[in-house]
Amino acid sequence: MESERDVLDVFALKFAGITGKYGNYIIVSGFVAIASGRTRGTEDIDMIMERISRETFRKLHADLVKNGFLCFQGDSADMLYDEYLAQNNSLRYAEDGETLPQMEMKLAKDPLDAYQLKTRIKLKFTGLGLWFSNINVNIAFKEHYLKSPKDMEDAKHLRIVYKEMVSEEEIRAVIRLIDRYRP
Amino acid sequence: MKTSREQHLESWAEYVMTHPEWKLRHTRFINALFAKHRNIVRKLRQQEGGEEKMRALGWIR
Repeated sequence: MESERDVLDVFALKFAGITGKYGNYIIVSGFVAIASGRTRGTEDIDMIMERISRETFRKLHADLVKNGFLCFQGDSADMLYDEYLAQNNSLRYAEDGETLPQMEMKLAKDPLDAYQLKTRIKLKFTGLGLWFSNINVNIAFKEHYLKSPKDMEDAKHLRIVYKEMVSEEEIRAVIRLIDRYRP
Repeated sequence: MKTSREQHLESWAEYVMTHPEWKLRHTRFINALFAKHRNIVRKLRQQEGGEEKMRALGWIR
């Protein structure tokens, strides 16, 4: 029987299955819409992780490497933590020998990210057991902050598919957080 | 008046909500994109300067 899991699903589940052992994470932005049926491509999946320590990241990175992932920014966990994650820069991982897809991973950096992690949600409709940032947060980011045609279409798709979850009140509250922390 | 693009987006989203088989169709679409990408990577690997192009695209380290 043909599998319903696509290349992005398999990659995200494998990566998140490892990451989730070391801290709370959320998948944000484009893959939320794609996993919910948007017909468009993407080269990367965006992940935000709670602010883990360098020691925890060492273990996470070693586990990812052991399971066949390669970090594009280098091999040394201490360097990756100090020069990228601790500075609020992202890391990109792909499966060794593959070019795409890539996971773009960063650590939570402000109360807005903390809010996203606190209100994370599993979206049964996707058929994936992944933690996503909630629908209203995604809509607020896409309509108010990112605003590209692609993002506006993602938001429209999410508004239709998850109409029972859409809360204009929460979207307005998230927009206030965006204005405060991402001016 | 809605553009044809808007009409398409809305009708696809409605389809996704009402047809459980959306996932299989969607999976074929996503996998086709990556199959195409892998074909391009294969061609670039055989091309002089192809690795450099892939590095510039952020596809390899």
